[in-house]
Amino acid sequence: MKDSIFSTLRQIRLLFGSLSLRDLLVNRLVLVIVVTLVVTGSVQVFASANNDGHFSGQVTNAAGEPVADATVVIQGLNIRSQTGRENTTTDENGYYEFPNQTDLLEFRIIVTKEGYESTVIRYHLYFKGQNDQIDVTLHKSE
Amino acid sequence: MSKINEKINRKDVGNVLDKIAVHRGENRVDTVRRLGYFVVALVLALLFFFPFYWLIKVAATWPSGSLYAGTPSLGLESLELYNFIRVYYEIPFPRYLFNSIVITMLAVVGSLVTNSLAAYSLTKDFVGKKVVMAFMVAALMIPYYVTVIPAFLLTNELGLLNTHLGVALPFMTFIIGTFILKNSFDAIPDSMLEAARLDGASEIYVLFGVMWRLAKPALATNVILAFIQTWNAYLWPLVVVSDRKMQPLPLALASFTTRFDGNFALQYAFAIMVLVPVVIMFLLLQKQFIRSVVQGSVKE
Repeated sequence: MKDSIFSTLRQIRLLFGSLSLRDLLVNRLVLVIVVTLVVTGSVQVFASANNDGHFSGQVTNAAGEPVADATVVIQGLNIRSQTGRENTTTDENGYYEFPNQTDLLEFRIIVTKEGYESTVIRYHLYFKGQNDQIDVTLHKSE
Repeated sequence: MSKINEKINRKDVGNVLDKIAVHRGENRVDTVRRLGYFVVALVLALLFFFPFYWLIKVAATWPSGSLYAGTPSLGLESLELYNFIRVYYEIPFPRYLFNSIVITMLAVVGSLVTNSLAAYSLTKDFVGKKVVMAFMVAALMIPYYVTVIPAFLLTNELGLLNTHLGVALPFMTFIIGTFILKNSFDAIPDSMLEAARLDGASEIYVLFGVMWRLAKPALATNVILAFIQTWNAYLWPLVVVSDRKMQPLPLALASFTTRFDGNFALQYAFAIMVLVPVVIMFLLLQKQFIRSVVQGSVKE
């Protein structure tokens, strides 16, 4: 009994001993797995380094001059519904910002200003809370 | 130059010119025939590829409403990956992927071992071998759906409902795989196995250390068949899995399709995400797969 167990163990060791580390590690399947893991890891690292949810931009007119006091509204979009709106106004240089938008992925950005046509842009980020910037150009209403 | 030579030369030249003319004609016919085959093959290839192209086109369209707006076109306007990201956020995709990978790995490894053991035993002569073979062939004729309820009751008795092993268990052996391996093992000369035994190899080593190394194409076919049937399995996981967390990808795809009915962009994106591992697997093993099919077709 003891001999047969030792014999079986020896055979199993021989079986795995005939496989070299090179055979196990250097093949196309392992290469695909490694590439997938590296790409996924890189994306995760990039996403975690840029997911503060800081969304900003500048509002300008057709001549490229900043538009101050324009109202900027963002509204999150789900597949079958919309989330609450958040709004802010642009400063004297036409800049606006929405901090801490960590759940934002797909949304509508609406920019209004008296004397200008209101602009609606549908936009999406590539991961939730992505820091991004979108500049909007307003055209004068007739 | 003598007149005899002149006559011979004229004849030779005539013959050579005739042969060239015939040869050219044959070449032309051959070229036209090949061109015809090429065009037919190209049209067929495009026809077969079109559904996949459409899948990619729709999945890469954002916003999805733009599919219905304006003039429909066949062209790929832009390659937008957003739908894939949306799918990732809408469902626990990594969890489903993990379930599918674990179930498939169990089924592939299990089928390799059990099919090899069965095939190895069938290469030996023993009393009742023909009955066993006939029984296996007869089992092929039983519709899969008939086996679902008994298999469910057995899985329940074993306490394997809602587990990876419970889903993988029925895929851990399949008769076609056993026969593919048996044919491959039959082709290995007995003298080689005798030599291994004389060197002190046990039957386990003869099977996994010697025969496996010589039957790589058949093993690759086994892997591909087990992989595809387990990865795409729908009915059996539907029966044994009631916990959402344990669902493999095809089940998740079905519930996703119901949940986002009408949103083709997301549905197609998810379908591509389910499809990609199978395509990669086939591309990695296609050489062995084709070699095995060709080997199986020739009996020497």
